[in-house]
Amino acid sequence: MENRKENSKDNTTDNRNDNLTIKRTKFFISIMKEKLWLEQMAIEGFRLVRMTMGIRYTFEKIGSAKLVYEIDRFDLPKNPTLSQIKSKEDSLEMAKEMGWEVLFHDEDMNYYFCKEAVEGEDNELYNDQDSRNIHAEKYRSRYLSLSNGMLIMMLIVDIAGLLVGMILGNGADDAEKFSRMNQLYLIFVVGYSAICVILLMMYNKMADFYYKEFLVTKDEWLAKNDYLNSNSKKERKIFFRASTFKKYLEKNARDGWYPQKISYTGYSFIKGEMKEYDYIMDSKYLTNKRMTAAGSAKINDPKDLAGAGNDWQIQSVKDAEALGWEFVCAFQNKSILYRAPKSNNVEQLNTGGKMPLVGILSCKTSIYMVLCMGFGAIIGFVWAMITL
Amino acid sequence: MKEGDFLEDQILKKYIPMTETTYYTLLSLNEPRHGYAIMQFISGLTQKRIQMGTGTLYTMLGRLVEDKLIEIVSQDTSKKVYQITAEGTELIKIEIERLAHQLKNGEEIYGK
Repeated sequence: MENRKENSKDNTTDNRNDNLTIKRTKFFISIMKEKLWLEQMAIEGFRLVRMTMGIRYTFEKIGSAKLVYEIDRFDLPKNPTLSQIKSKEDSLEMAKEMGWEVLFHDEDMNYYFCKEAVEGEDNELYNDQDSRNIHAEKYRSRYLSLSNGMLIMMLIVDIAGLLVGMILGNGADDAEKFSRMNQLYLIFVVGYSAICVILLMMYNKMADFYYKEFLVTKDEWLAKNDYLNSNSKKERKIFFRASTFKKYLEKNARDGWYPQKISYTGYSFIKGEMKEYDYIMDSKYLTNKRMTAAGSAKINDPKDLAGAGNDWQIQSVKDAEALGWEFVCAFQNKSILYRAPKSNNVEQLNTGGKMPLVGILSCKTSIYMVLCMGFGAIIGFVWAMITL
Repeated sequence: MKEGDFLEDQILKKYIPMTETTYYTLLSLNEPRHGYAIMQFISGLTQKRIQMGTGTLYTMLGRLVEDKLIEIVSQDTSKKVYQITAEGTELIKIEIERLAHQLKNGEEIYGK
């Protein structure tokens, strides 16, 4: 079984192999991947005994065994009810009764369970959708409250910093106002806020990640993540020219890979039959161009202040499918990718025949980026002028 | 004592119609049983089709105790033993009757 090491470093140098225990260093974010790895170790003949600092695993040598592992936490919410306080003890008792052994818990209060895999019996702690929902929600709210905590920490320090800054700066003359101390102080406040925001974003991502992971069964997860098959692949690429992008898609189609999801930097494909395909992209601007050329009104919603309207996509799909183009995927609400077999000789959707590289850097995003950089440059320039 | 004497409307709304796991859990507790025995009983009754997992059982039993449909009748070192209450019996009988009607409707239209 191929072992994907996306989030792990396999370090076997400290391999104290006295025939009884071995150690491994691995870092997992995905709990499902961790469980699968531990199961693989059991098949190879090693049973988990201990774990330190969340990355150092100690195994004892046993015969090859089919074990299943579970990892769970028993945090209490802010204002726990009586039943919630009792729940940890009750849960552990129930687990033991059902044959799970509680191995240990790590520094982050994750409890590790282990059981022999029995065909036909439950091999997961949460094997019906209802309890999986509750379990997923538990993790999500934990990480969301951590991220809220970051927000509050940041607010407190920023407001305190502002006040302190105002007091310090009060009564000082111009030269002192921009002294080294004050600069360092400013850097500290900004740096601290930046760290808080990064942690906040990280916790939010983790909340979403674990929620999605716990909502599905192991089999569903394996299928979704294509862990064991090679029917999907992901690639990181950035394209600046439409022609390169088009060639990239066409080459993949010839090899049998079809895009499933696209983003600014990454493309995921699924395997299909090898065929020669033509690819085009459509956007709101091009759709409107077609509409005016055909004499209809442009798709423009005056109430759509944020520009997030998706009506153009409905029209785009109609136009494309009428000509014989097949929908592949949509990139946010900026563009849609269509394909058609070359042998079908399908008419081009937009005149000119060229595939526009739309959505990679949309007009709005580019203008926004330039404005921000310009703003930053102006502040930096003014600052430098004053401090000289 | 007529039907529904013990049961609040809230409980009826929450549990009727009943999920399979709830139904079989209540059935299994006509006699005092502990967690593992409940799992085995349900597995046997459904010819291994329904396997009550640890988390499932734990959530289910907790909810049923909270709604007073089952109660803990004894507890030695670590095993809790549960049994159905009068309200629980009331509820399961209502559900059995509903299922009988449901089955009858199906057979009327599609035959046996």
